Amino acid sequence: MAIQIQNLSTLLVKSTAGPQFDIQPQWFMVQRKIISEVYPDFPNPDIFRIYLYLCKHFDQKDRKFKRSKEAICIDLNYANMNPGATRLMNYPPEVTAALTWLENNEFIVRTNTSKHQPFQCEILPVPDFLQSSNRFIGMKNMAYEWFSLKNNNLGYIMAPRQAFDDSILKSSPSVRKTWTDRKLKTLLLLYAHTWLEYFGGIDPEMVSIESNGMLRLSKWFCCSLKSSEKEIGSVINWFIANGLLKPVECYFVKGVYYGDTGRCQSPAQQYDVKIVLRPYYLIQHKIESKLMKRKKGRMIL
Amino acid sequence: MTVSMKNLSVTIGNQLVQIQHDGVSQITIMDEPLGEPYEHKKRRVMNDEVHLLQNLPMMDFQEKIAMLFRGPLTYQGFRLPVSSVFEVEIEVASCRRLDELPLLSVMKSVIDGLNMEIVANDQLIFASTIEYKNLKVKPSPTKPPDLLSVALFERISNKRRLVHAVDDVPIYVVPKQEPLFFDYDNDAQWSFDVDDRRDSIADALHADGMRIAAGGPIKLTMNFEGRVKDKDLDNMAKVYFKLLEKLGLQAQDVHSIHLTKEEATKSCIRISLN
Repeated sequence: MAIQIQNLSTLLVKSTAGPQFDIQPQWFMVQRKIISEVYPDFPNPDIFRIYLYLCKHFDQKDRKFKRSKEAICIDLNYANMNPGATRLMNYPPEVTAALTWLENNEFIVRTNTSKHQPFQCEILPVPDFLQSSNRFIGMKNMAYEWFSLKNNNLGYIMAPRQAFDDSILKSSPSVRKTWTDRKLKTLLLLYAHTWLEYFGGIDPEMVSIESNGMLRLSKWFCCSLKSSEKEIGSVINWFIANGLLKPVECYFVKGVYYGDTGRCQSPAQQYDVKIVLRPYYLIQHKIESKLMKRKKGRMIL
Repeated sequence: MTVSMKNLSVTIGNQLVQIQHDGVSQITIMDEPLGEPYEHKKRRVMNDEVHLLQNLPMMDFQEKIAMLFRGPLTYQGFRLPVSSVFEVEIEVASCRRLDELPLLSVMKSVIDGLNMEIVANDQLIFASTIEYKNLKVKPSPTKPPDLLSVALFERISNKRRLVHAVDDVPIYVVPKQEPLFFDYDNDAQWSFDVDDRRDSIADALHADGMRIAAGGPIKLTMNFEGRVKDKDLDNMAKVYFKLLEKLGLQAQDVHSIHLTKEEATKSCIRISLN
């Protein structure tokens, strides 16, 4: 069952040659709740991708989704604008159905005052799921803001917008074939466990590579994705092969990241060496944080 | 079987604490029940905040427990959180062994999931039990290894009423974990009177011949009496569980734990292993 990473030594990040990672200022928030063994998956791939698109383009300041329904259709390849046309004549039924589903199950609320106004919405905290009656129960009196989520013990993922570019959410069959639900969900959950200041990348307890190149995966992690270790192992292998995750050899002191072996001297304290996976797309403010001050210089970026 | 109880007294500071025990499985300590200080308080660094990262699988497990109760209770029109006197019953059926599922830590994690979101304060929980059942059949590789049941009761005078129960939910159970501390340079911990007091009692019991034999399954019962209204049941249990470990108890031998607390003028901790 164990998965072997081929050519590990050539894949390991080295401190030579220019930038190795893409550092992005823009990030978005998705609740961890949707990726769980006790929460159902979205009923179809359109709803899942349109939900991610809404999260990506949700303006935290105005608490509004800032794009039009037309933009959803065009950006995600559900429709093309006819040459010379100034607007879409019809919205594809999948898009309308997905938005209706999200609204009916209280993932979003429409904010346009009448039906005849253009589509506008606000994202709501992810509803609870009631297994016994197979229905969603909306979260009352709470806003989709990081501090109210935090105060209510609702965990969220911070993902760089570029890592979930519109091009991988498109509805075309070839994109769907490459970017399966499992890949998107795995990438989201990997970002949930990315803590540069503590691990220099993804928590090695979730996923790491042993010095002999064997991939080590947490059972909990796979279980949250409703998948087997073999299935998640091959997804992660694909991310590594496609450069979305990069293996980095790091020093750890008492379970906490110290620095990259290729960038600093070994720590004075007793240390461990671990190979962690660092996502190619990183969030700028996470690197500029107060806690990263001492460690940034010891990290290959 | 009648077992003779031995009497023992220990001087702690300027106080004399009376203890009774049978040398193998029964201990009664006539003392105010101690509670474990919170982990981050142990490391409070002067003039600086403590940076830590909570264990995310544990946080997610607690969030899932909250949802399993909040969903149906909100649906029934309850205004959460509720304030009352509560009892909690937990059952974990798993193909995993107890060394992966230390029961006291599992109980703590379940209670922390209910705390604030469902019950207004975990100090309102006056009784809590957890039972482990070994599942012989392994579930498929995509399914969780555990089945969890949790029942929350409200105590009304001498009766109890079921608030809500979830039964045999396939879920990946995550026991309470300590957070990861950012500052490895400063891992000095404050020393606490609790630890000294617990160790003095453990040493005295040990010197007097109290030994807990390895091997299970053990049913552990702990009752806490005294000024315990504002003390967490699981924090008190943690202290005396450590005391029992010093006397030879192995966590993986404990297949069930029954905890109760009772507000009383006379303080006492009663422990029995069956």
